[in-house]
Amino acid sequence: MTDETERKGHPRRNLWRVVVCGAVDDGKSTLLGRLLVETGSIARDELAAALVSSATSGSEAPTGSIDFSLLADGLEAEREQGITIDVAHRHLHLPSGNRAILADSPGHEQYTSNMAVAASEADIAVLVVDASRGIRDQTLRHATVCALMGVRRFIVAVNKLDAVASATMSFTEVSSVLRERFGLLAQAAGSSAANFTVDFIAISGLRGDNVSTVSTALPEGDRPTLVLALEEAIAALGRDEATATPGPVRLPIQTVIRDGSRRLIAGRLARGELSIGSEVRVWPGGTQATVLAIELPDSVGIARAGASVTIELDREVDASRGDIIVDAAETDLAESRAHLATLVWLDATPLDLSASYLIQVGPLQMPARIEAVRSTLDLDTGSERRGRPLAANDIGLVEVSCDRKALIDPFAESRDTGGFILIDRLTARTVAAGMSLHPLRRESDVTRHSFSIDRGARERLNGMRSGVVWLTGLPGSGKSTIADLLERRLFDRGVRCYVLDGDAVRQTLSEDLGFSPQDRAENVRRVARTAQLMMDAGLVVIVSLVSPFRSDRALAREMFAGDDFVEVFVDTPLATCIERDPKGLYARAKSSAASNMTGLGQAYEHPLAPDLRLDGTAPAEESADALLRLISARRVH
Amino acid sequence: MSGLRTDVLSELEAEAIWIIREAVAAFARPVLLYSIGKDSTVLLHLVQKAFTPGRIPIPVLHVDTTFKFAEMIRFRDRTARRLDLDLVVHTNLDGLARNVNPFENGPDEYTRVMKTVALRQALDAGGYDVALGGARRDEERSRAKERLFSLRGESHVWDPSAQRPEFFSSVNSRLLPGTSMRSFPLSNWTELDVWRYIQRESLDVVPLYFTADRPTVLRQGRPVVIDDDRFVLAADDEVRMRRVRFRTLGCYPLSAGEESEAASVEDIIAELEHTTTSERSGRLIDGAGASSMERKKLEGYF
Repeated sequence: MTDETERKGHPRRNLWRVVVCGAVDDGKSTLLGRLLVETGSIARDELAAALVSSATSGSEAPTGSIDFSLLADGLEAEREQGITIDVAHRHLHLPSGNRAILADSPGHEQYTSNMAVAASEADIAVLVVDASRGIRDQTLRHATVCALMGVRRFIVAVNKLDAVASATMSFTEVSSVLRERFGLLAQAAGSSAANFTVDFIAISGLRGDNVSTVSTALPEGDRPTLVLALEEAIAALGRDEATATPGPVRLPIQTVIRDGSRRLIAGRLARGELSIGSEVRVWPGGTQATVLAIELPDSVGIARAGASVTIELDREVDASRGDIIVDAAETDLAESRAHLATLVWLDATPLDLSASYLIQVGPLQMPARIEAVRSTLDLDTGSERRGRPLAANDIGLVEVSCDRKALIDPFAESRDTGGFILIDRLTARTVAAGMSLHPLRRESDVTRHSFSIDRGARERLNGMRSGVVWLTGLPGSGKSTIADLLERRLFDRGVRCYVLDGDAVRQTLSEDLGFSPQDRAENVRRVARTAQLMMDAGLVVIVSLVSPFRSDRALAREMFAGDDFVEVFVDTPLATCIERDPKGLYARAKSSAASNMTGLGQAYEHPLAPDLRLDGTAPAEESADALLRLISARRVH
Repeated sequence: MSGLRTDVLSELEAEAIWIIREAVAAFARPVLLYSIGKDSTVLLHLVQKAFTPGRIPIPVLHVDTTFKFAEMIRFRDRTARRLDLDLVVHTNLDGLARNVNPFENGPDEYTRVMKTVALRQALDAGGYDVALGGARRDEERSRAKERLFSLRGESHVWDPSAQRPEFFSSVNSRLLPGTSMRSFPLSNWTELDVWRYIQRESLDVVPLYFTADRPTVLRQGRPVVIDDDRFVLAADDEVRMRRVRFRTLGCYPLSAGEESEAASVEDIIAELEHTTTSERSGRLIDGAGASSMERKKLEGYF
């Protein structure tokens, strides 16, 4: 292929980014130095400098030999302390001619944000594990951060197996433990999980085994050497890219160039393809236009994702920095004031839910708040915990609320238009990196048709008020029994009612959900919305749902006006519930060590101020009567 | 390094233009730091490309230490005329009045006064909040640690242990009073990328990069060109004509040339494809210690 044809439309990827990560002292810098030297990616005088430094730095390497780590640690403080503080970028030239930029990232928890920076642009992650120390928190943290940041190709380099006597984990053990964790991460990565690969290799950074030359002294891994694993990963990325569809057009506008009376739009095409004649519109405006000319990258008339472009439209449209050029035909844009996102908190000052931050998605910047932390990630187990304020290095699932509509794509589709940062307005610091999951459609985003028959009309027709009774409590606390009795009593009085029972919902409306805190939150949301619709249709809705978490119940409650919603706590001691165990859930959970069972693996957060607390050990008939009295008094019906 | 695909250049170009546009569009008073060398030449070309068909929208600053090669200054002025640049030339007049020079004051003090302090003066005088420079991560170990956008505190100091994190394509351009930004669009380029790009785009460079017979003396075993009569010769100096070229350009008394036959951009590329020494090996001021560049940057050097 000639130079000219390769340039058409602009760049196919040929420069890949590799993050080298892992816990501190696991030998990242040494391995990276070794890799650079063995591939001839480093100049002779630099190598000589590492030799001199080795003799004077108090390094562990014998004087006169090369301390490979000194090649990577570029800061004086790093060489003195023998640690990596910030990311070093080095060019790697592989034997095939492939090129990569290696980012050596720090292993200390203190510098996790620097590691996340390297992960955020990486195509491939090399995760170094010291077998003599085993898998550590930071190992898991780094694997998680990489996966969250969109890395899909992993190479696990199991180092220091040569210290056999002191090895706490064998190659097989490390592989099997990490394979399981990566399985979870791949699952969480969702739609792009098909491309999620993990190769395990046993290496010795110090001796150079299996770095570029095969050693028989170490167990056989998925690839013969680290170099070959990198070559294969790069080849696979090339194949992925060649077969990928261009996707919808996203050209975030960086600036508008004026040339006499011409106005040209300048930005980097994040997704899709543009050519002369493309029908586009400028988001958030509605005006459509046609691409008249493409000045950059070339005048060949086509631009592909990744290209910095300059385009001219066929008519004067309102366009400025932060606006986005999209396909004219695309309708269902991920635009909303609210977005659900994963947040990696970076700053020493924790997240403040009452603070106004600045969100920045590419060139688009606007005020935003974090409205809620739905859950935080537990790095030890890889599972999610209930929300709590995010502190440094915490990872959480949050609701971001922007000042106005923001177009933020799902991160899994695009790093550039789905990733964002949060800026503290006072300190100007970048306090968090965010990865959008999907927009949260709120009422404010949709203009509803106003229908002439409303809830009030239906209530008058029925001759009764509608409303929602929400029963919460442990599994086996007696919610369904009480709901059943209450419905019978209401029915007998001619009240139109319906029981929304947790088990039934799980088999229908929420059949796609599991029992993680995140899925439970979604289940509660769906049930609450359904109850709202039924209430609007004129019914008294009795919800019988474990709904173990306060924040979920609070969100449900917020959907209703004061009197329309009654929260009832069916208070039954756990021991009683386990003893009753009408569905055998507790027994099964205990025997299978399933961790999502409320009361066992997950906590039940009892309501702090329910409208009614029912003693779950009392006869169910009494409870149903008490409930009937309350809702009669509150005129729910 | 064989089999390298030329398309890497398009990728690097796209990234550099994106960085340049962010720097120019998101900050209030951007300036381009122009050092006349090959990296600055590429950077200037990229800035022009980023805003074509419009004109280069930012001022171009050259810190003149007064000891640059005369050919560099001629090239600078020619370039400024050709592109109609808003060229700002700054010299530390206080240093000039005190006649601070590399011969009597030594390279370190001379560099501090005429380069580092001069740069700080020029940036303060212009009230610039972002300065674009042609530094590359592959130049030197501490450069390898730089962000694309590098925050500088009061007095322009770099705090490498507290760099601003960078994610995706979202650049945090917010600055507190007294702080400013450096931006490095060529961060991910290698020396060879720069030359291949110069070839691809047919760019003019200072002729000092091409070999020629030049009057030299040896310093630290390397040929240093006597560019004018201010050069202070030692008693045992033997001035000899040597066929030398420069891999990097700076102040002529501090830049060592190397003997070479490379007389064209093609020759240079061929030479670099087989070289085993790094680019900075020709900079005499860097030999002082493994961390000398880092120390200079801590003081506010670019």
